[in-house]
Amino acid sequence: MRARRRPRPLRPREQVLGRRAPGDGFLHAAPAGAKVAGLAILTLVVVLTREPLVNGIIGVLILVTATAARVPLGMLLSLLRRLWVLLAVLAAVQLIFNDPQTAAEVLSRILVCLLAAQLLLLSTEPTDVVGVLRRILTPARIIGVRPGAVALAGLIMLRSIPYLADRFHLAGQQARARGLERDLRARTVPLLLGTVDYARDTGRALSARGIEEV
Amino acid sequence: MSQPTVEPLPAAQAARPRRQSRAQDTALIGVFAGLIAVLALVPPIPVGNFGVPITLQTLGVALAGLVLGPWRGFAAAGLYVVLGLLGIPILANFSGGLGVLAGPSAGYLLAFPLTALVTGLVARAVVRRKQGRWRAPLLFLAAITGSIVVTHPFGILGMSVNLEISLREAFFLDIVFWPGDVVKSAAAAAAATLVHRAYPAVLARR
Repeated sequence: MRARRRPRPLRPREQVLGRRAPGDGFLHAAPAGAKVAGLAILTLVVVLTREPLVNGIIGVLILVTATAARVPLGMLLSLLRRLWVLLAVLAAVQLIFNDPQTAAEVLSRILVCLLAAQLLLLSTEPTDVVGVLRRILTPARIIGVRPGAVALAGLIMLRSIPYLADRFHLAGQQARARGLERDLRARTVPLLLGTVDYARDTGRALSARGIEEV
Repeated sequence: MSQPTVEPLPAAQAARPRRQSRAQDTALIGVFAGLIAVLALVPPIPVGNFGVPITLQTLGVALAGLVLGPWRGFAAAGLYVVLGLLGIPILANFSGGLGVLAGPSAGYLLAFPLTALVTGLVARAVVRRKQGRWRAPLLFLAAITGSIVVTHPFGILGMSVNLEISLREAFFLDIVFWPGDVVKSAAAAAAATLVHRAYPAVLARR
């Protein structure tokens, strides 16, 4: 009962966005902007050519790149384990609506693009991505966009995610204690109120320090 | 750095500024983008699954519009989508990166900022004019309008292009999401009504 009296310690937070591959290969060292641009070009090529053969070659290239950059292939391919239901449903849909040739093209295109994106996720820090967004937005200054404020909002988002994930988990436990675990309202209202509270506190803290951009 | 003000504000005005500060808006936009991300990452609710994962993601988008109004809602959903596409694993299934645009859910994803905008436009009008018991049903209408007018047409178009099926076939795949949408819109409207009662300054008194 002693635990009741003192404030409960925070649960060790699940590292919500912590799925980085360990390593120091060339992909980890490459600037995030270059990786984003590379992924953009790859996606564009795959989407525009729509050839199963091209997709296959690019798929092999992705695996070679991952090996060369010492990203564990298991982490890259764990994507398949997480998405196999989605992929199975997609395959079924394709076999119902389309001929095998188109089905192969659609499935390989989606798979290749997701694998390439996964490689980027595994080797890039989220805060670097916010930096990329800030650089992309620099020309938009002319139309009144403030890149510094957007980057600040992005960093606030990253900071809030673990907190809000905890809040959601807590709301789920509270709802379960009341026998309402299937009640969407009981599970989301505490989360939403917590969200607004957290935003107002953050806003006040920023105002007090006069921070509007980073 | 902030520059010194020309003349100090009167005490009453300084204590309760008429307009919320820019920093407050930035914080609301950032944290609501985080809310959309968290709702997208939690395990999907057990409803049938047809190519596009059914998550609470659209609930977060509806809440952004209902609570923040059109422009800040648009900004929050836009920030979420753009950062997800640039390569932070915050999209459904912990995916992210531009490769997602080749997948079946690309249309839904790209629709989110506009959904929040449309929902927010209706919601702002409702919150400013109506109080009391009509508010929740009208906010439900706002959420469902955004969903019907923006999310589903974009989603159907996206599936049709990326899965190489006709619009008709994509439409039938999309029907699966309708019941969940009604449930989520109702939950969002109820929650948003509470927020506007608890914190009128967020949208009503702006």
